[in-house]
Amino acid sequence: MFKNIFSHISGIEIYPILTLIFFFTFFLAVLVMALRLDKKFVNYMGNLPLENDENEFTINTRDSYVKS
Amino acid sequence: MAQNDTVNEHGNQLETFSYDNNIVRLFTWATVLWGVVGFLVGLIIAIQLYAPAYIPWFDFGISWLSFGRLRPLHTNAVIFAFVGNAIFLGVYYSMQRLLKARMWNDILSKFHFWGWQLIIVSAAITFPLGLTQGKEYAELIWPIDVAIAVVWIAFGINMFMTLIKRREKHMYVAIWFYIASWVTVTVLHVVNSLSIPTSFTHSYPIYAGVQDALVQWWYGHNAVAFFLTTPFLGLMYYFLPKAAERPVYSYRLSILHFWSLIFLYIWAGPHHLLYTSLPEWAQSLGTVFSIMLIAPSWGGMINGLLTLRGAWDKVREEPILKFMVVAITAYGMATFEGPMLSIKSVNALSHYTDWTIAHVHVGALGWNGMLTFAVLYWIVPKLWNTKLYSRKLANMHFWISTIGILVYAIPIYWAGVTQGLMWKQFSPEGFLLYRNFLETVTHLVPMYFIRSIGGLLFLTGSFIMVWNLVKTAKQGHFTANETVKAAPLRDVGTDKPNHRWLEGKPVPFIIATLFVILVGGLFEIVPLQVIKSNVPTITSVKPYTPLELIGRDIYVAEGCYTCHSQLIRPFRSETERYGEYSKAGEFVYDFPFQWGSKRTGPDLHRVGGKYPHAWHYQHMYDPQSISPGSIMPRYPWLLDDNYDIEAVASKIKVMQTLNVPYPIDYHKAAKGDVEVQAQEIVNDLADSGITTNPDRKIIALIAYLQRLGTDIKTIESAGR
Repeated sequence: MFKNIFSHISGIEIYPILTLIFFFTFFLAVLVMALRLDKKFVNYMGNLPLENDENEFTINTRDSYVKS
Repeated sequence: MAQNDTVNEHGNQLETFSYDNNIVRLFTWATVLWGVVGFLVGLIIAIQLYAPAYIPWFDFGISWLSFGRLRPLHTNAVIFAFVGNAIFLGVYYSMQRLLKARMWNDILSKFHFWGWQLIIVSAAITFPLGLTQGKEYAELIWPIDVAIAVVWIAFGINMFMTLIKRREKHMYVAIWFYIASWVTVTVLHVVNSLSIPTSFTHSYPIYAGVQDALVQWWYGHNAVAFFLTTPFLGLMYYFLPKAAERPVYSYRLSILHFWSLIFLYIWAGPHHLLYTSLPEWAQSLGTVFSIMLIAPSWGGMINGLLTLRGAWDKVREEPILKFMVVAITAYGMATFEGPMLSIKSVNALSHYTDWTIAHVHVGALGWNGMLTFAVLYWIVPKLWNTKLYSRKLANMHFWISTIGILVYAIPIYWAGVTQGLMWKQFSPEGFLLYRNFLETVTHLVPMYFIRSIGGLLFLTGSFIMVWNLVKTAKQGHFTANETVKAAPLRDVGTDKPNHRWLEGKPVPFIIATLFVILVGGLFEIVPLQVIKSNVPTITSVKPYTPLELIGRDIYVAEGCYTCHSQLIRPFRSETERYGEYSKAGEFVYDFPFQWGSKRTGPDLHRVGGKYPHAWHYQHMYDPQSISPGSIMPRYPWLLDDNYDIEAVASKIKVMQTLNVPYPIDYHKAAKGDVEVQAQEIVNDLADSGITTNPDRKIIALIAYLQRLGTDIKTIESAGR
């Protein structure tokens, strides 16, 4: 059925493969980006929701993981 | 205004500012209120599903209380009112704290709040009046759609300006989910709502048939994704660490979770249209991407559950964590089940049955409901600077609602599988074993009854919560503006262009998100728009006559699609029961498509000519008198109310704009044709001893029903 409908779009068969390749490339890129993150930064970001109860933030911006 | 009064250990000046808790309070009570309303309407329609056969008075014979009109009210109330307000309460609370900034503009915040509530109220008025666009979860009429766009954009501006004015350099994972939700919902809402008005309360979508179906389910699926899932994942990433008092299990996993999820979700829409007239290519794509979705979904679930590692003793004590564990578990179950239902062989059994209803309620009651309750129990004591009034009541609520979900879901799964199997059952002689659709329905009534008890339990639990939250608020004191200090944003050096850089740059982040979600949409939608003129044309398929068009609009307005499909799948069990399977070319004049997603009653695509006019007349008046044991509600008002014949001219004109080939200037002649066709039906009814007028709604509806699926029948009989 799909060949009838799409017959005028040349190379439509390649769509599913193309999208799959596209996704896996994207996935690998994100994976590499996530793994390459600095550990201090990851810890800092992970703890971000927990800091807020003190009502005073003396260590925002990147000071805590860049300078310390 | 911020003022500098202290310095931190790095010698940076600290600014004093305040968080807007008032807006969080408003959204909190709105969540509670609309939650109760949404659950209550759900309970009412659950009872209505078996009432016609057992408590016949329960539909009151009143149009605005009928199932077809209340069902959209229930779904919209739960999705956009209950879950919507819960999202906003969570976003307004967590964003301010994660970005260390007050929301950019208090007036915009208030405009967002009151605008959204006004939209909800107008939905609660228009749905019972039968004003609808007839597309699931996008039923609201066009002026309300415009209002939604305006309020949504106001929310977006407020959110993005707060991002610009933030004091925290990097955006935490919760914020990415909020951004993705906002961006995607904007795109979905605009594309799916494109329609041309015929009056202030009515419009036709610009897409028809197959195209409309694809756009609608691209929207419908992603409304689930980007309204019920991604914002709630944002809430999970913020409130779960808060409640458990420990950071999320893996921040790196959350990066992978986020990007894979938003990439994959957008492709999966066509799994709602398996075995339909949608091109197979699009169906396969939907299936493949749905199965791939398990990975990021479970990545998120695992990240949530493992956040509680070493804290399971707390889960035993703390009702908030209990709610969260059930919520995340329900998320895991629903996101495993979804891909399974997208496998064609499973879908062949499950689709159109109650299985789908069970699936969505595991998601809505379990994931959205329980997570919202957790957030409410956490946030109300925080906002009112006190402790929860009663942990015992919260525990009681937890157990009642958990048991309620089970009592709801199990019988409905049972009903779904039972009916799916019964539809497909053949006798050894090769005939359908349950030829009469009604036989498969009466079987389900006990399950429907038990399900409503589950709903009642869930509702009861929410009343306990209301009491507990009100008492909590009363015993504490509310701080409308919570004063805090933080250093202003300083750019200390430049990051390399990696993910850390992206987390510190809202605008590139938004663009990246938009790109990721558009890829899937474009791959799916564009080919089908390209083939628009190329859906295999069937020459015998002609536009609806004006009277049929009026009848079709009544069909849409009454929400018939909530119980009847108009799409016969290419299975022997369906072609035996209903007739020739549905072809893409048959729907080219269907604005909107009415394929439906649930068969509480039989498919109607080939109902045309199956019964005499008098049968339909009597059946609408009192279905049980024709089909004893039927659970279809009565529609007595269709016999008394008149249709608006004057509106037909503008309807025809809009249809012509949409390339429906009516003759030039036909809108002038349409009224006359309506009268002629109506009179023919009235005369036919008179032969059966029924006296009525040609301007009654029932006449138009009969004209439409008798037309359904007959274009193809004509070919068949001519061929023979």
